[in-house]
Amino acid sequence: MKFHISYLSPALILGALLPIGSEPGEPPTRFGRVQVKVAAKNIDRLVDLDLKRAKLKPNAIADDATFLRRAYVGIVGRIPNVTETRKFLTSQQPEKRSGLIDSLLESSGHTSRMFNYWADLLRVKSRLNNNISGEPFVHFLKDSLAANKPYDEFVRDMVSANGPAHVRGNGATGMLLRDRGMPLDSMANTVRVFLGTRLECAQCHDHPFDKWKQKDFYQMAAFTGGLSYRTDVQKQNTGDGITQVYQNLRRKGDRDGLRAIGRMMRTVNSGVDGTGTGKIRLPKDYKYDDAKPSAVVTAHALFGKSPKIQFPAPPTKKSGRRMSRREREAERRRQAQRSRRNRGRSNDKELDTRDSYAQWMTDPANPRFTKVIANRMWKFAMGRGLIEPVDNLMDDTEASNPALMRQLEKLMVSVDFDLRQFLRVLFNTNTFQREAMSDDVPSDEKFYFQGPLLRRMTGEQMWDSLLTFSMSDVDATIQDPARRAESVYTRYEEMINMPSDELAKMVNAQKLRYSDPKKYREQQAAQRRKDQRKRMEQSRQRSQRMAAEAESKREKTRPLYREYVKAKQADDQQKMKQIKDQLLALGVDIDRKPGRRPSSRSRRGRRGEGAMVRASEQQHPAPAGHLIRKFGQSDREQIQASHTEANVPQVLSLLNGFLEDRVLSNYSSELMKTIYESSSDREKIRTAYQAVLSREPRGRELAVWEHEMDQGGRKVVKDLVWTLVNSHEFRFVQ
Amino acid sequence: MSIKDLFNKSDECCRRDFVVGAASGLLAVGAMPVLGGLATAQGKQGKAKKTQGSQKPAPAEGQFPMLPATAKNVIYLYMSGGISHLDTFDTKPGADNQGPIESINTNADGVQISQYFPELAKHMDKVAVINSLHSTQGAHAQGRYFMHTSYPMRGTIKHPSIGAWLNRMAGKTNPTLPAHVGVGIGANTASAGFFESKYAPLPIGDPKSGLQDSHRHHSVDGETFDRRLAKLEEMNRAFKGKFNHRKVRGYEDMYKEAIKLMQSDDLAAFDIRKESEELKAAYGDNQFGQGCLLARRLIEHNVRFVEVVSGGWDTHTNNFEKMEDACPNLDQSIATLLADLEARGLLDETLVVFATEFGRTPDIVNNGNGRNHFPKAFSGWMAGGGIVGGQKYGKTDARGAEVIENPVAVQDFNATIAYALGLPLDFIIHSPSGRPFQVAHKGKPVRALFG
Repeated sequence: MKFHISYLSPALILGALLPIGSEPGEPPTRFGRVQVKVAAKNIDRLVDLDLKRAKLKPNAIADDATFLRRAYVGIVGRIPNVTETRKFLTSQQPEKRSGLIDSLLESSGHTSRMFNYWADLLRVKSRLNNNISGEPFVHFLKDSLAANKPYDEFVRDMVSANGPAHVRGNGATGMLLRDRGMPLDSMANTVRVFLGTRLECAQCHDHPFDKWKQKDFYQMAAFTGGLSYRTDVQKQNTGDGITQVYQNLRRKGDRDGLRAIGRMMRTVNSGVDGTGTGKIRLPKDYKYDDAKPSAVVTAHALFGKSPKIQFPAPPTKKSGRRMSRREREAERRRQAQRSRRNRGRSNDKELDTRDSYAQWMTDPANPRFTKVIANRMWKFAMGRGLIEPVDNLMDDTEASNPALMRQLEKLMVSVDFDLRQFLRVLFNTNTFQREAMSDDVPSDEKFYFQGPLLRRMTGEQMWDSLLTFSMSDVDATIQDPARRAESVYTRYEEMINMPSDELAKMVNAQKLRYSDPKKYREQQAAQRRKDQRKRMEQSRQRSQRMAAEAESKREKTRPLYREYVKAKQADDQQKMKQIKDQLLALGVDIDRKPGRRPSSRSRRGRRGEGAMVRASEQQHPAPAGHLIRKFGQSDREQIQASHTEANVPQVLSLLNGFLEDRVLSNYSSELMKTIYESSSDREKIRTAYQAVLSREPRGRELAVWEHEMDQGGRKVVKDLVWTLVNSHEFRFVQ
Repeated sequence: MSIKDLFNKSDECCRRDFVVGAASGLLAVGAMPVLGGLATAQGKQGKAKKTQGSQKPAPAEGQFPMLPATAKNVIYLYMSGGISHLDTFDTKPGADNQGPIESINTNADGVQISQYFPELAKHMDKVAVINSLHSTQGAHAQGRYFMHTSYPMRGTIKHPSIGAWLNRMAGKTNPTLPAHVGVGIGANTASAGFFESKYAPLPIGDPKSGLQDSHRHHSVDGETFDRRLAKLEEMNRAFKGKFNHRKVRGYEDMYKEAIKLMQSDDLAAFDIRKESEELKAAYGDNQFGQGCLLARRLIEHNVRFVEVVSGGWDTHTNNFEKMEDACPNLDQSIATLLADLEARGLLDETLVVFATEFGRTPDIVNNGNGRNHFPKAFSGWMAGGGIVGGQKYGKTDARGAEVIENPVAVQDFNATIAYALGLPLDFIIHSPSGRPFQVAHKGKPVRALFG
C-alpha cells in the first residue's frame, strides 16, 4: 500500500526521470554557452542600472589570479593547487574563465562543495538520536548532487519520502527523520528552508510580527497528518523471525524483553510512515476564537493555490444508506480496537497529502519556492542575498533590486531548476568577476553589488584548502557515498532476515540492561576491555607479521643493494638499471629517498583530525575539537549554524599545531616537496605564493624573501609558508 | 624592544592610526611593498567614524559603575534541548502525568527532587531551585538565544549573551587568560553579539584535550617564532589597509589574544590532565563531567564566566528511557562540582547556574512516552556566590503546567545573575547602529534568593 515505488527501485526512477549530468566540460546543449552569456549579460545590466541610479560605479574586473582563487573556493570548495594555478595563469586560451567555470562545475569537487552547503542547511548528521544512522541521507544527498537532480525534484523526493530509512535507496527519508518525533518542528523547518518562511512562532501562538495564525500553522501541518517515525515491521516483508519473537515476548508479558527488542529494532523500524491524512488536531489549550481546542483542522496551504483534497464521505453501508446507530457503534468499537493496536497512530485514511503538499511547494507558481532558491544561490555566489535574511520572507518583503530578483526567478524556471546551470550563469557575470568590496557592508544597509563581498573561507573550505598542501589530488579522497553507507544497509538486512532463535538469544542478552543495569554496565565494560585486548593482540600480530615480511624481503634485497653499490662505483649503467629493475620487482624503488613514502600513517591524522580526506567525507559534523569545527562548521543542531568568526583555537592551530605538524614538518607534504625540489630560491618563493595565495609574488615580496633565504638558508622556506598560511590573504577570499 | 612587544604594540596602531603608525616607523621592519592601500584606508577611516553615531561612547571595559557583588565568577551549566522540569527539579509525586519517576528527599528540609539525582540530593542545602521560570520562546534556536541574551531573536541584530556582557562591562580579572570560555557551546548560545569578537567566549570543543596547540611547536624555537610573527605583521599590513572589515579586525584581536595566552603563566588552567585520576573519575568520564572539571580549574585561575553545555535533553520520544540513561551522569558531575568548589573554598565567590531553554509538556505524548517543548513553566537553579541554598522559589500547579506563585521571567533570571555579579542593570550600551540595550533587558533580580 504505502510502498512507494520510489524507494523500491530508486535507480530505475532516477534513470527514467533525470537528465543525467552533461558531459564534463560541455554545458548541456539546450542551454549552451551562448545562452549562458546572454543570461549573464542580462543580470549585469540590471546590476549596473541599479548602480547608475544610485550614482555608484561597479568595481574593476578582478585580475586572473583573484578570479581563479574565488572560482575554486566558491565552486569546488578549496583553493587551487600549484599545478592548477600555473595552468590557469599561463593559459592563453580565449574565454579561459568560462572554460574554468565549466570544468569546475562538472567536477567531483563541486559535489563535495554543494554537499557541505546542503549539509549545513539540512542539519546533516552521521548519527541521529537513538542509534539511527544518518548515512543513508548523506548517500541520498551526494547522489542527487552528483547527478545534478533538478532542485524541485530533489525537494519533492525529501518532502514526500516514505518507508524504512535503512533500506537501500530510501535515504531521502532522512530529512524528515532528522526531526524524528517532532512533526510540527519538522514542518516549520521544511517551510523555512524551502519557502523562506518562518512559522515556528505560530506553532504555539499567533505569530507576533508576521500575519500567520496558529491555525494557519496547523492547517499546513495537516498535510503531514498521521506521520509516524516508525515503520511497521510487518509492512516490511520481514521474515517471520521478528514477529515471532515479539509475539512470544508479548504473550509472556516479558516487559524487559519487550524494551530490549524495542531498542534493538530501532534500526529496522525507523523511517517515515504515513503519506498524509490531511487532518490534524489543534492543541488542547488552543486559545483563539477561530476554532475550538482539540478541533480537527484540514490541510490548507499558506499561500498560493492550495491543493484540493478528496476526503472520503462519512462511513456508509454498501447500499449507500447511512449506517444505523448500532452499526455505527460497532464501527466505533472496531476503530477503537484498531487504535489500541496502533497506539499513537492516526486512524484517518492516508490520502497521499504529503505528495500534494510537495507538489504545491515545488510548483513554479508557488510565490516563494523559486524566489527562495534563486536568492540563496545568488548569495552563494556573491556573499549576500538580494533579500536578507534569506529565510524570513513576509508579504511586504522586497528585494534590494526587485528587477534583478524577478530576472533570477525567471532564469531559475527557464533552466528547469538545474542549479548547476543557474550557478554557471552567475559565475559568468561580470558582477561575480569584479573586485571584492573593500568595506564592510552593514546588513541593514542596501547593497548594490559593486562586486562580491570579502569572505572568510568556511570551516570546510579551510580544511579542504589546507589539504592541498598535503597531497597532490585532494579530490581523489572523495568517495563513492554508497561505500560509507554499506554497513548500515547490511545491518538492516541482517536484522530483517535473522532467524527467530538467534534474535531471541540477542534479546535475552540485552534484557539485563533493564533487569540489572549495574551488572549490564559492568558486562559492557568487560566486553569493551576484551575487545580492546583483542584489537591490541591483532595489531601486535600484524606488526610481527609485517616485521617478518620486511626481514625476508631485506634478505633478498641486501645482496642486490651491495651489487648496486659496486656497479655504481664502477659506473656500470647497464648493470645498475638491471639491478634497479630487479629491486622494483621486489617492490623497492632505489631512487626514492627515505622518509618520503606516503605511509598509511600520514593519511590518517595524528592529531585527532581523523583521516586526511575532504570535509564532505568526514563524519558529520566533524568531532568537536576538529579543525573544521574550530573554523566554524555547524554543529548541525540548527539550520545554517555555521559561522566564519575568528576565535583563539583556530589561530592556535595555525600558529603552532596543524600547519606545523601536517605541512611544515611533514616531509611527505606535497607542497614542501615541490618547494624543496624547486631549482632556485626565486622558484621556491614563486611556488609557495602560487600554492598558498594562488598568485605570483610581487616584486618587493620576492626581493624580501630572496634576501631572507640568502641569509637564513633552507629553514626560511618554513617561515615563508607559515607566514603565507597565517596571513589574512589566505583565509579571506577576495 | 623585542619583536613580541612590537607585535603587541602594533595592533593599537593598526586599527585607528594605521597611517600614523606606519609613518612613524614603528612597523618599518623592512617596510613592506604594497602601501598602495593607504589612500583607500584613509578614505575609510572617515566613514568608519561617521557610522559610530552620535551617542556618547560606552566606557571601556572595567570602567563601568559597578555595584556591590555577591559573586566574582560564574559557572553556567546549560542543558541544551530543554530539560524536563517534571522529571528533575519540579516533581509531582503521585500526579497522573509524572510517569514512572519517583521523588526523593534531600538534605534540605522540604526540598524534593527526582530519584535520578541521589548525589545532588546530598548538596541541595547549597541550591536555590526556581520552579517558576517561564519563557515566551518555544523553539530551540529562539529559546536558547532568549535564555542567553534576554532578548528575542531578530533578523537585523545579534545580541550579546550574559557572559559577553560581563566581559564587556567588568573586563578581565586575569589579564592573560580569556574572561569568557564556552565548553561544547553551539550556535545561538553564547556569543559576542554586536560587541567586538574579543568578548565572545573562547570555544573549547573537547575538555579533555583542553586548549590545543597552546604551546610553541617543539620544532620551533622562540627566535624563529618571533621572526615569523614579524613577517606576518609585515605581510598583513597591505591587506588590513585595503580591507576595513570587522572580521579582519577580529583576526587581529585573536592573534593578539592567542599570543598573550601562549605566554601566560596560567595556561595550565586549560589542562585537566593535571588533576588526579580520582577526581577526574568523580566528575564523570564524559564531555559534560570533564567540562565541569575544566570550568572549576578556569574559575580558580580567575576566568570569569565559563559555560558548560550538556546536550540531548530534547526528549520528544522515549522521555523516560532517556532520563534514566542521562540523569545519572548529570547527577554525578554536578554533585562533584559543588562538593569540589566547596572543598576549595570557591563556592562562596562562584555562582553556579543551571539553565535550559524551556521545560517539557506536563502531558505525556507521542506514543505515551515522550514530552514536547513547554516554555510556559520550567525550572532552573542557582548555587554559591551569595545564594541561600536549601530553598525552592516559585511554584507550579499540581501538574506542573502553570506558574502559580512568584513567576520568574527569563530576563529576571539573567538579571539575578547580573545582580550577583554587581553589573549595573540599567546601564545602556548602544549597538553600532545606535540602538539601546541593557544587560538582562530590564529584568528584575530575584532578591529572595540572596541572604
